[in-house]
Amino acid sequence: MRAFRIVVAAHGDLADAFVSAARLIGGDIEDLQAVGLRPDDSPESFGERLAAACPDDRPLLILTDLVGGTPHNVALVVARGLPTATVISGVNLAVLVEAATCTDALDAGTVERLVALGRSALTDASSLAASRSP
Amino acid sequence: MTLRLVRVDDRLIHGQVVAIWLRALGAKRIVIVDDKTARDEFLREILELAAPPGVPVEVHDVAAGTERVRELATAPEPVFVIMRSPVTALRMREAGVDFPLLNVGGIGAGPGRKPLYRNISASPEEVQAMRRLEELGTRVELRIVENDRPVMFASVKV
Repeated sequence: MRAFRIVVAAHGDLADAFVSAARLIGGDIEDLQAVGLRPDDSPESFGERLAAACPDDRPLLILTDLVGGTPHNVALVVARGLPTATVISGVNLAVLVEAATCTDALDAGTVERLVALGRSALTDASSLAASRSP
Repeated sequence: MTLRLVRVDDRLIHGQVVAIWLRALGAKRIVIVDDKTARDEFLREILELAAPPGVPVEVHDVAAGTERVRELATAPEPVFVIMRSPVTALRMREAGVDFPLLNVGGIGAGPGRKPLYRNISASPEEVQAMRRLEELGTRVELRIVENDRPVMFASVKV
């Protein structure tokens, strides 16, 4: 049982796609929600939907797709009003699956571990394969 | 003329601006002219962090921003100016800051706004500001990202 809620905030259909891909790998994952930025969104309209996905003061992890993008910018504004919310930006599927199956509390150590995992999940796979071939 | 682009975008600095425009323009500095953001230290910090390393971000209210942009327009460094509304662009233009082109790249739907073109909506006041800018000799283009074909505001039925 996870101790925190997860909201994925991302451009276009990517938020929904992240959630459906995570469920493809991890099965039924509860307390996982997607909020996608639509082409006609203003920061305010996106912020309203994001805030609606963060209704209570349960610990909350917001994962955004791109540092500097509108989901990231708006997530930081929404999280400012939520003392129990943490934002990690530049999410990949490895981070999302790890976070979704995490049973630890959402503390600084957990956040640090998720960020480190996300960095190590990005790799030059061709070089890696070449270095292992005989 | 080193104002590489004067843009209206209510998201200010975001994915399209950083990933596409900044690279296409070769701008070395971003100047945000917005009263609301200038008043809020936290919003200013978010925008500073949203820009890539090495590209300084300045945030000014309309009064200070007008003077700063006037000054930067004659300096050698290429500058990218972003504001939320064409009304701000008109205020700067009427204060004597000359720019031949205004790029309108993002105004979200909202109360009092009608769709203008793709993801761009505008209130009657914003439409009026764009008309007035054209009368003053500033062409107004609707273009979301650099590789889109620009559509002139004058050609769009309002």
